[in-house]
Amino acid sequence: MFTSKRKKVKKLADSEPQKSKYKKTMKRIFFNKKAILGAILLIIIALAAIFAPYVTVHDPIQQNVRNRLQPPSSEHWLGTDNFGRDIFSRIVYGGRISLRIGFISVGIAVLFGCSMGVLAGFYGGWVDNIIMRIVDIMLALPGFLLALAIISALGPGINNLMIAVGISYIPVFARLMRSAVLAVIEKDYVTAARALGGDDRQLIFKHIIPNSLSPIIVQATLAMAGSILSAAGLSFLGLGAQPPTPEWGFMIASARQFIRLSHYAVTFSGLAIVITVLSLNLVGDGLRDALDPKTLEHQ
Amino acid sequence: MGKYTVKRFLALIPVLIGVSIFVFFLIHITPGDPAMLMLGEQAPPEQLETMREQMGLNDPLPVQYINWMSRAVRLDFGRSLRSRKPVITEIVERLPNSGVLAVSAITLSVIIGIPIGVLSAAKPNSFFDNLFTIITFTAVGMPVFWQGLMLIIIFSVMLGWLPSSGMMPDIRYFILPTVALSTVTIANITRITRSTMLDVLKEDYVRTARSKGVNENRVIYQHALRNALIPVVTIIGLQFGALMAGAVLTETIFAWPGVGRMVVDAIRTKDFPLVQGTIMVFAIIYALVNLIVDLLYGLLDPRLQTKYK
Repeated sequence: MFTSKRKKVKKLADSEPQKSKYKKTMKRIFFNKKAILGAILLIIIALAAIFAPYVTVHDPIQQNVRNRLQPPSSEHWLGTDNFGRDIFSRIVYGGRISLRIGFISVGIAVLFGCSMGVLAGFYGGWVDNIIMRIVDIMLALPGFLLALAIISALGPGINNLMIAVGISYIPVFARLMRSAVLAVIEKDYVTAARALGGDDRQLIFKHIIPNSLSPIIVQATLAMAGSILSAAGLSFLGLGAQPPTPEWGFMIASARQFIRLSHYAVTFSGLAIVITVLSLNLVGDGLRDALDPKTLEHQ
Repeated sequence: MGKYTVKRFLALIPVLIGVSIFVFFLIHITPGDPAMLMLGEQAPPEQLETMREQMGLNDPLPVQYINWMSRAVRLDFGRSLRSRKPVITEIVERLPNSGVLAVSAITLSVIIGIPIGVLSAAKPNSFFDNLFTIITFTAVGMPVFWQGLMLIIIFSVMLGWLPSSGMMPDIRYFILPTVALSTVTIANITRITRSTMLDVLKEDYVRTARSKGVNENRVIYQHALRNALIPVVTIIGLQFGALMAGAVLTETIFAWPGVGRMVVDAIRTKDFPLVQGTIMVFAIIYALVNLIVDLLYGLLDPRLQTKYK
């Protein structure tokens, strides 16, 4: 009986503040209208993309020239494009490509950017200097133009598109991670870990990275929105997806010359981009509000 | 301040050298032989060899870079492969067209963005505030090129009010491109103005003014707005980058004879000297605009001047 009571007391003293902080954060995320709305939209988009063959009736690639440029009907919910393909199917399949582009390019940016940021922040000195000068050079061009320049050299295609957009987002994560590391490295628990004989790798992976995670998650969500927009823009210019891939930006580009006859392909493909980007921005902003109570004041 | 200006200006040099290395290597990352890219796939081998010699491709890379760079500092980026005109002439011919579009977009953004931001901050969480929060949020997610096309569909195809593309000395040709290009900037300026206004309205001097019995309008428009505008100036500078990127797409949509559309055409036709020159010029302009904004920021906020000395 005594022990159990003591256990309880100990539990209260030790883990309660931790747990309640976590609970509070989860609660804030859950009660954040923006985050919830964004997450619901995002889940719908992701499910539609994953289960595309079950959601759609028509083939997204199969052409049917006799059926071209039809307005929305019960057969073709959003109408057909200039090759008679079902716009709804193409948009749903396009979601696969856009989400993949978003994930992979942000993955590239997070992987390289965060590594650069950790190295710069953790080691300081000349390492920091060299890395940050490289970042400065990457920031000398606006992100979209950097991606444009890179893809002009690599040549068009979805893989090159993801590389180019990913590289253009590296500076964001390098800077963010560096400042996060600098903020954490001064903390007592890092000093304590170091005093206990933790080597660099342990310090970085066990203490610094887990503690810098929340700004990275927020930024990654927002960067995914941005990279989907950039990728759509580059595909629109003909530098990304190649026909007959149902990519949203490219669909707009190829339907563009027919807007005087039928605007549905342009309108709906664009709306798909807007909704996806909007939902990612909502989640990102909501998470930022929830993870960083300082910004709550602005709500 | 003078010393700071010089220091900032000198700091640009290594960055621009870095960009020039990047731009120089663009043609070397490209799969394939640069000489073949210039002459086409069917070029006879002797001609390719002459071209290689002429381009200095047989020299070691650092030598090639130094040769390219020593010409680039004199703004000589070679000749366009398509038009055979000097790259810099091509750029200078189109730069004013892009400039006009950028200036009108920034002006429109400031005229619309700042008042909406201030009004939203004056009554936070009012119907007006919430409405504009939703609108700005959606606007940020809209691809520029799609928005441009939607404007064309509505205002020139359906209503027939405005021309769909081209640039003529007629205000009607400017309306759609300006609106398309400025939407994202308007949204961002609105958001920043709103949040800095909210910050400023919490300051002590605002409370003092209010408790003195100063009229609320005067508090907002005189005391608070002046101080809130300082960060907004920086944002306008940052937006310039988004504007350059947006210009590439907007000019393509509206067949606007600017630098942005030119670079897209150059990329499509693999006109490498033109691509290299344009990207270099973009970087220089971007760097200068940021420098000017930074200095302006120092001028507007006397608190910062002591720091720079």
